[in-house]
Amino acid sequence: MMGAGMQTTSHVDALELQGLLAKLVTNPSVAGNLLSTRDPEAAGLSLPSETRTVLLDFLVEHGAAFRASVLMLKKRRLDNILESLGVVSRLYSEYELSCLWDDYLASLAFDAAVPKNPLLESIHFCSYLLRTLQSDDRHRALVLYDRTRNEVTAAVASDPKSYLQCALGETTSIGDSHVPFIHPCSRLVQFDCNVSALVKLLTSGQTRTRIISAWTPTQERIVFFKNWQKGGVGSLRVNDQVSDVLTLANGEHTVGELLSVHKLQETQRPRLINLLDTLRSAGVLILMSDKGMQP
Amino acid sequence: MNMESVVSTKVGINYKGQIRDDILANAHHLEILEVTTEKLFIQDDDPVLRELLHRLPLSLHGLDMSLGSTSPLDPEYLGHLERTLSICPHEWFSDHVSLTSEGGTEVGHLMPMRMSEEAIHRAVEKIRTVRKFSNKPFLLENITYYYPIPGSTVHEADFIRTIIEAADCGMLLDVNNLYINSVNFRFDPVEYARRLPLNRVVEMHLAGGSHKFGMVVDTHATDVWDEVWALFDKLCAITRPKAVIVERDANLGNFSDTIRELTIAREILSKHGLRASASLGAAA
Repeated sequence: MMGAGMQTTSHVDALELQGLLAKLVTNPSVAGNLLSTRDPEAAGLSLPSETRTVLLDFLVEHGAAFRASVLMLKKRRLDNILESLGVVSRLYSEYELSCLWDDYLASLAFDAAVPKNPLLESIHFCSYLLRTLQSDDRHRALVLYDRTRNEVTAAVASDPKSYLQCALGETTSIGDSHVPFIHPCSRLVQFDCNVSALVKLLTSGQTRTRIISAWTPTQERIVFFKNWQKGGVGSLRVNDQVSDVLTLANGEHTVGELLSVHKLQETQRPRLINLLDTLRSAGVLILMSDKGMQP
Repeated sequence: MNMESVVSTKVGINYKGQIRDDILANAHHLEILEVTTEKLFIQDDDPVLRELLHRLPLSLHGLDMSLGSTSPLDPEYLGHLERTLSICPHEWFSDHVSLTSEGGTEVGHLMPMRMSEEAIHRAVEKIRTVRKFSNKPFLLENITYYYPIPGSTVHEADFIRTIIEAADCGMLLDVNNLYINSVNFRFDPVEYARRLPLNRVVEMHLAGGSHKFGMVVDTHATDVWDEVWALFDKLCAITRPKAVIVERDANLGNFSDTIRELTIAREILSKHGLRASASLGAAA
């Protein structure tokens, strides 16, 4: 480093060179090709002649270290996203995950703007799996489950609004004029199998064979939400009634209107209020004092 | 040694969610906690961390500021950073001499930056911007890297010193990074350290590396190496940090091993008069 980093001034500007190396170090297939052939054109790169010269000189002097960096980063990215994929990381073996990761990386265009934040890249990786798995592959629901959990966390992270501050406190009794809306970071997803049971089996350490054999076709709706009390993402399996309530909880309907939409008898009112209260406590719903307050 | 000269360097670890219960149970062994700044961008995400932040002073350690990018600081990142700094009481906040994105490409790790006069100017301006978000010090950390960016014209130690002095900020001296670079690039780490602004070192990092690809690599996945303890010992003779953090990010072992490493760090600090109790004992 004492001398290695101090070269004669390059006329290639920092943006161009740092940008090129940033793309290469995050694209193992292109970098590997370039390191093997030392031929930018063969690796699919079209570079100005001066940049080409600087790059090739760099590879002569630091190619081995750059290759090591590419490989280390490739593994670190996989390790990091698996930390946030509690289901997928248990579902597939280490070898399978490595193969799937290679396929995913190879699918990325050299110039693609892919987020490297582990949480966001885990969503991209799951999306890739969902695009490429066969439509009847029984792993799909579990991949979708993991992706949705991370989508909720990502939505919370990118949401600048503090809904908690403008929502009614939990001690406030729910009245007809209050307006429920599903937290913008929550997700209501319909699965085509008994995914919650499969997740339980997986997290209890059951083998994949056991899990796949337990797969049962059924309609299962799950709401994923930010759990503001315990941290992380919570999930609740919901029935038709709750699903309908959540669908209508868009900030445009008061509690009183929900009662009438569902043609609920007055005797059923406590049940609905209780349900709204439970969903509010869990963080699935936010209740505002009137429609004008919705974000 | 008089009372005025007594320094009590705090010793702690970096927060890892996977071992949060261990950290909470052993919080009495810690005097400071380092938390990745970006983790706190998601507020109220971790109740154990919330509890720890009530008990321990906080060192905020960022990864994604990307001081080395040629582009300006990302406005969205700045928004998150400003908010986090405003609501999380902290001792100081820090980031690295590196870039994590360039020209729209996110890198996903700490990539070296071109060390040039132009880059110094850009980094100083960026640090001045983020310093406005907090009345606590900003610290700049040296990184491990395995290749230099072509076109670098300034020695790394001079590069870091110039930025820190011009931006009037502090330094986070990562002993493991310095050791690894000294092995891979074959230089004397103490001689190198003497070129750094040692009077501005506020925090030091200790961690373990691994042998891979014919190099020593920065993995934070092993115990602190003996060579790194030895370098830490030498550096404690010439700098006076306010905190030392033992970092571990992978291959998380038994927490008793972490406590043992904290004890070693305290013993070395005591030897150099950097622990109040030991210093007072020596004075008595």
